[in-house]
Amino acid sequence: MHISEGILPLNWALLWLGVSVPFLIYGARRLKRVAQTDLSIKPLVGLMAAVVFIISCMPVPVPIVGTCSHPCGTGIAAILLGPSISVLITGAALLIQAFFLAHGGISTWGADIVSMGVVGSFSGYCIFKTLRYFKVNLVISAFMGGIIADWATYAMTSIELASGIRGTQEFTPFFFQILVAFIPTQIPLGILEGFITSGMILMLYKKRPDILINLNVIEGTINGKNLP
Amino acid sequence: MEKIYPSFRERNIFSKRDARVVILTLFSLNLLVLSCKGFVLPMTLFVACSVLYGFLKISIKRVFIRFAEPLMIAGTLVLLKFIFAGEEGLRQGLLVSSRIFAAASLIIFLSFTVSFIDFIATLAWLRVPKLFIEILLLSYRSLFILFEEAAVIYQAQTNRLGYSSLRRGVSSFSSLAGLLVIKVFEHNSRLTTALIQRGYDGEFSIPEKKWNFHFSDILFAGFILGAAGWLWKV
Repeated sequence: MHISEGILPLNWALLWLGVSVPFLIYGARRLKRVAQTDLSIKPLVGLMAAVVFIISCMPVPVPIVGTCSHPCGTGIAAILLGPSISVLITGAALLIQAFFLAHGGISTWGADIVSMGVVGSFSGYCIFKTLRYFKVNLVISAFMGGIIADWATYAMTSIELASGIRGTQEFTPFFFQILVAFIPTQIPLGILEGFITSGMILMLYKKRPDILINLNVIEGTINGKNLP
Repeated sequence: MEKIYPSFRERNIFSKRDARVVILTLFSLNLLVLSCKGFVLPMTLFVACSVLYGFLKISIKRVFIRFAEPLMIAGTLVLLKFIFAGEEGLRQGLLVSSRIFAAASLIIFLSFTVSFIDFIATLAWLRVPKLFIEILLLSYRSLFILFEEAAVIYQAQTNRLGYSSLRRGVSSFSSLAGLLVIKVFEHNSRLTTALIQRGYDGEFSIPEKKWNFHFSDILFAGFILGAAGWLWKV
């Protein structure tokens, strides 16, 4: 979810920007390191940012809290390219969306990166990798990764909104009010994102398993037919 | 899709100004709005931007599409604050809403007057790391290709009743997203090959921009910021 331009006061906008910068720097350093040996990685990151842009610009209004919900697309980016590069991808997609569609904003860019890019990517990636470590089916792991990435993003957005606009209200009750307000759209959207993420992984596995092997998402030979 | 095509940027007197001045002025105004404790500056900027949209002959429909999300956010915020915090909450909600209106107006105005390439050139001028600018440029260029691919796949799925029920819709959308990722890898493979054949060594060149700088732009920006600063105190 994107926090709209102007919704966060300046001090909170700067704080979230400050939190996002180290992750962006880390992602950039990692990308630079990979790019030294793999010339195709930069164009790939640019293309994935465009995919995240397309997936995450389908807003669904949230009736009470006053914002929009949508699939994030960061789960799949994190699973395929790793969470640190996914933060960079999210940053690029968010900036283009803010500029083109007034979806999100320049001042809320940092907050949106923290929720979608950092929390969404890392949580989705961790769940996916943990489940894969315990030999859980690839599709189920991707499904859970997608769901958790989405729900974690919205939990973080609720924290950002509650801290930024609570005014004289107490943080905890206001946070729960926002969180509850998200539930009607976010529970089904999270599940939808899970299906989309697992569907994408399944499609890649069926049509181009070499991509998943090259990106270290799965192990095995390219000719393997059964789901690992 | 029409919303993001470059044609959205209207040719107007502001788009011919130095993009750096326009962007920095709007950004400074945005900072003033975000740090403002009153209604006067945000509402003045909102009205001024609305008048400018009319003056620049930007269609109301186009502006409304951009405003739909901030408008809904502002409306529901007022309601939420009023329900949970009474009269004081209503005042806070209106204050935040006025900030949303003003800040959203400024960013929408920016998107109507400055092209994305000028925006990128300004980021480069501001010494934003080159790697990030490269990714922005690559994403921007890929967007239109991927949108077209997605539109073709979507049309093909719709023709075969791919979205006739929720279950089929989810399945079709997953396939669409998966195919889009496959297309990304195919494009990437072709793009990288083409780049390497043209001497690509891992670095992209950022297009150099010849700025159309006039001192009068600075004076005008200074006047606007001075007036906004005065209103900020009110």
